[in-house]
Amino acid sequence: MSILEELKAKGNGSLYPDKVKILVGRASCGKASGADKVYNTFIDAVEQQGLDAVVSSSGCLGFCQQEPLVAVQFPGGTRYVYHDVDVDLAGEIAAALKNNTLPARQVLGKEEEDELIVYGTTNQFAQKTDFIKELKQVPYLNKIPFYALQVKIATRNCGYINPASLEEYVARGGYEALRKAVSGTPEEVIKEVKDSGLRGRGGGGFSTGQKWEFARKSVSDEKYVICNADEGDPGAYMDRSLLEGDPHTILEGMAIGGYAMGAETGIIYCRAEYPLAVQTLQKAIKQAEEAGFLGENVFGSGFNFKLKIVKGQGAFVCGEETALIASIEGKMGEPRPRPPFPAVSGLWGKPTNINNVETWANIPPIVTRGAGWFSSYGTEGSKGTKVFALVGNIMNNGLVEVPMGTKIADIVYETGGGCGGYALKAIQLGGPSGGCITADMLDLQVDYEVLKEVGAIMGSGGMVVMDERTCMVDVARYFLDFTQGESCGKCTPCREGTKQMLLLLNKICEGKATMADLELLEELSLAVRDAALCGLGQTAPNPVLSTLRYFREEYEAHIIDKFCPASVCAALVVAPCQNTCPAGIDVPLYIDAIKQGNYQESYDIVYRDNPLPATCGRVCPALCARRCRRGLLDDAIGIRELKRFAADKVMAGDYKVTPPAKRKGKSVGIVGSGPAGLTCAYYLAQLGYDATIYEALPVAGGMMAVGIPEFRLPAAVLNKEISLIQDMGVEIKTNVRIGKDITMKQLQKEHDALFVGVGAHKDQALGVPGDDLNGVVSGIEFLRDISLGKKVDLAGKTVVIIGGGNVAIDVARTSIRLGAKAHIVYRREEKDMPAFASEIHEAREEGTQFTFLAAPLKVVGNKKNKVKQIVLQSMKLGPYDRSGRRRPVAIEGAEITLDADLIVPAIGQEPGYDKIDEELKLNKSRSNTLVVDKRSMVTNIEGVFAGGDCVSGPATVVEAIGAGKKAASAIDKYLGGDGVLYQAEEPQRKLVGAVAEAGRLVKPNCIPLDAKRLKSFDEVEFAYTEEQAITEAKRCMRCDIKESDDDDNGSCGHCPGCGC
Amino acid sequence: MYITINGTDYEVRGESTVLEVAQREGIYIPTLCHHPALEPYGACRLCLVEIIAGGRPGLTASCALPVSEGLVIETDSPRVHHVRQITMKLIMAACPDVPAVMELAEKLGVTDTPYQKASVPNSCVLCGICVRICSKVGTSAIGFAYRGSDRQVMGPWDKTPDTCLGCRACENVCPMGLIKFEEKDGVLIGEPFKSRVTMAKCSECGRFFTGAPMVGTLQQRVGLAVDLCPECQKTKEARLLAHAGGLGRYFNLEKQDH
Repeated sequence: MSILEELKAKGNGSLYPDKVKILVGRASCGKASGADKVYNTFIDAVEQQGLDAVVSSSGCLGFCQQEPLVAVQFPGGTRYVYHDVDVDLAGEIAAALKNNTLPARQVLGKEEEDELIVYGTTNQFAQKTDFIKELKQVPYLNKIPFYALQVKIATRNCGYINPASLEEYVARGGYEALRKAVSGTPEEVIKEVKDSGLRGRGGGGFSTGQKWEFARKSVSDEKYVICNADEGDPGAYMDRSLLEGDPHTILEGMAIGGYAMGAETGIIYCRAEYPLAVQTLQKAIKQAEEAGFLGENVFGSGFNFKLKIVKGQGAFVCGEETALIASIEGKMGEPRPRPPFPAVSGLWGKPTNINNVETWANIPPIVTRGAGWFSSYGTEGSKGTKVFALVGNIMNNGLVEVPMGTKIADIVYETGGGCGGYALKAIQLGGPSGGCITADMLDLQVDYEVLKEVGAIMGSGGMVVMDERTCMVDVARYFLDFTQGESCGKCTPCREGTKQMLLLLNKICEGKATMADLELLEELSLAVRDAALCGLGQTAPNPVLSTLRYFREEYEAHIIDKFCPASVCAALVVAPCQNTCPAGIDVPLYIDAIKQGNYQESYDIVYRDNPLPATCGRVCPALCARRCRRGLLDDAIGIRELKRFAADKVMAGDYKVTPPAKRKGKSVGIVGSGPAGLTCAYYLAQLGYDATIYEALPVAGGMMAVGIPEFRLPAAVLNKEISLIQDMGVEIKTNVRIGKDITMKQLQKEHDALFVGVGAHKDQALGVPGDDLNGVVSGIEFLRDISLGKKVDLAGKTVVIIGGGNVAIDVARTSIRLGAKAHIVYRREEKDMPAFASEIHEAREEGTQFTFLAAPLKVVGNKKNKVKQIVLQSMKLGPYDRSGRRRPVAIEGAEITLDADLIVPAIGQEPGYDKIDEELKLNKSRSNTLVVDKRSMVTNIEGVFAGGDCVSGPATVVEAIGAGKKAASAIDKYLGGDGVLYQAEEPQRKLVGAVAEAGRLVKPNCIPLDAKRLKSFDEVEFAYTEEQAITEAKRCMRCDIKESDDDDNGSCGHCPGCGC
Repeated sequence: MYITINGTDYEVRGESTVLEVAQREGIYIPTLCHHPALEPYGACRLCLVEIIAGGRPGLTASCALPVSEGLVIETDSPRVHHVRQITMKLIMAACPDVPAVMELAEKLGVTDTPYQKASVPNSCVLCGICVRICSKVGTSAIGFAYRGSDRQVMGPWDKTPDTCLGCRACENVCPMGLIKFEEKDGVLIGEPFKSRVTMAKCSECGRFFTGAPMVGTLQQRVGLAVDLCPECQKTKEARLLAHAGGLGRYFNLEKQDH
């Protein structure tokens, strides 16, 4: 029996023992999550408690988010993989095993066969499957989203074998490739590698076969092959996983390379920060030497190959090949100019070939399976697979190996599980040398050339996912900070250039930069890229250049507006909530005032920035709460609820506003009385302008009055706030329609400036046959009619609503209150609905029916052209779109028919202008919104400003308030003012009273869900009680206080569990 | 072989770099880190030239670029000029108000730097010529410490380097004139490297004349026994020549010999 067969037999015995086998993932990632404790628990169970099982260790299966991972395999039976295993679960598993069963919780997946990539065969190891009833529903591991798209070639053994066992490696096909290689000629090996299309996985992407050919052709008495295991990109760790989980594949790959190129010495240059990898490699080298796979006369071929490890001492630049070689030679790790290239003159002046860990790991399967097999994966120019370290704002963190050509959207949303409810913003590829791509580019495929084209690189495979909470300027600054610190300092552009770039970026992040600084930064970035000596310096500017390419606006916001849109840059942000609020309300201060019992003060703080507190306290989507840091701990603060509490408290009394005595003697005309118009008018009146609002409808308030039903926002509440605005001096003329009652030209003559805030009140038509039948009423029209007092009786009728937004929900809940049965049809899944989750919940509670994944095909009428039915097309989930939702795709021939008395399309709105736009020739976008300068809010016509939904498209009340404020400031400037809306002193920010440690979000009380609620338009939600409000206010961590109370670690000391 | 620099063909025999050819032909390429006695280093990046053809197009350091048949080079293309000026401005920010730097900058048409100037005045441009010459001499008494913009030249751990020979090669090659050796009471004091080297005495006149380790190293490495100071050595050689005849009348040997 040959040595390979002998080892294979032993290896199979230990891979599939005749008793229960417990395999604990104990690579660095597992250990960091407590895998050693779990391992010891199983060892104890065997040694102390008589559990009859084999306990073994493996590398990492790649699902870092869910470490420690433990596989339990029955003799001849299924293997179950458990996730997030702690000591308790380990004990439970051990106890259950004694009864020949297993716990049913935290099972990630099951396996019944092993794929032997090197042979191209599968090993069906489980004969008795699913004999544990409770685990019958467990999905196959390779079917769960995280693994479904993965093809494991490089990482084929990670997590499956004990890295300390040569036998297990051989049992899965190990050293078969080396045997095959040395029995043929070196040229044959090189041809196979060349034909496979394998390209350097370390970042360069140069053809591996060609590189080998160069080294082969260099004539020398001595040659070297080197494995570059100096992995150092922040966020990339696939090499470590390979070294720790499957060391022999690196050894085998290198021995094959040595044979092909004529090198008898191999060196693994591994960073010393990977102690487990170094230790694992040392053990593996010893085993391979003892077995004769390394050393003299490998497989009797006459080929000699020895391997040693050199530990890198923590300089990132040593990943650059000439610096790496200098480091091995004992010199300072600094690059030198090329030529000569290492293939000609490398280590000790001899021809040297350097490949990355992942590249080497791909070699053995290529040799056994052949170039044709390998190149069947991938795209035209990029073959095989690539391991990515999928990290950042992503649900499923981990190492994923996918075929080249996989769509990035699939990696992010399918494998990665998306960003957890936040909007994807960018993905940094290739670490500090790479660049970012944006959410618009998710359809791109993983391919060297494709990524390069958009300014990113494949790099070593770092894939850092960033969502809306990431500031791209800060990202560039972070990477520059890294490269600047890692620059060796040899060449001027890198040493001085990266330092100056970092200084400029710091200046931008602190809000101290000018646009000239931005120009300087860009010019310098390009020069450093052009002039630096080595790859580190040449690529260091990439994060700056690519963020500038795609996120220049964000740079400009920091510079011009002194505003960090993502609420990251500390110098520009009071607190994330305040910074996120479109109206800029000082949230921490008003919450603190409630905590102190000063409700009037709290209201004043809100009112200063938002003249509609009671309204917003009811209908605001609370963008602020999405960014509340308390939410990272337990639940975000009930910011909206607290606002409503303070507003209701104060409004119950006799609150008054005082118009300024000093008048400016100038007047502004405002078209539309929605939140944008009201806000703009309020601030202008406060500044002493005469503000007149022209409203086409009989009531003021815009969409707040006619788009939001009474049970969410009572008219009395809104009207009281509007009357305060009138008290400030704003004149509101209702029932004045532009083009009919008055023209814009007339307004222009009458006023010194105009503001257009007409909202987006025009519903989009369904666009299917029959959408004009009697009984098809648009959502906005439906809600408006009800708000304006039209008597509608829907008793016993069925209302079918098309759409997934808040309008659809409001229509459904209103219909139910009018006695109808409501049925919402939405073309995507429930989780993709844009409506607020709480509204969906309440609508369902009140009895709304939902049909998802269906879109209208046609509306069928009766003889009187009255709606009778609606025919829907059934949809299934297609590929991911740029919003991170799966696109609905029609299922041919699958239709659903619903009976309906009323059909209400609520599929989006757009502005309706009457004659405003035409009369003034206002520029409009493709989506029919007005085009304004985003800073001055001015349209293409001098003195005519615009804001709100008619500019942004359908958005929220608070965004319209923000736009109204911005416009008021711009109009003031236009009319000669300084644009400052109000004078306020820099507030004292001090923590009074402790932050409440325990306690989740206090939920406000609601009217009980009974028949009465379903017939009434009374407001469903109550305000907080005083006690509730104070309890909730105490939970605020006061992120606005910048001074540290805790000098030891620089943490502010407010939060009950600062783990960062 | 022929290469083209700025549109003119030049014939080149044997191995040399583009910088060497340019210098030979009187074509100005600025450089701070190149020294003819040393290997190409490619650090200051002022000698960047643009490869137009015959190589990978783009900017590259001419000091490290070997000539090859058909190479077409521009030494002052707009791209070269632009990047070179920026590099110069970076050096000016790192070494503000250093006369030698200002002089070179002016030559390149740069009068001021838009970048933040170093707060701690520093005159060393980190060309590394001293470090490399020291290594070439074979002792590496000084080297680079720290990385990136913290980079400095010093003895190990910024202490008196115990392998300094007192050969003063570093002093000789420093383009900024920053390295100074002084004799004091039989000790050669070299700054800023904190060198302290005991000096050898001239066996003839009794004056200290060089570092004692230098004398030992010469003896050891090249078998050259040096026990005279340069003055006495000259005198000795002259006398030998005179005695050999023919040249005696040029020297007033009798007078010096008492």
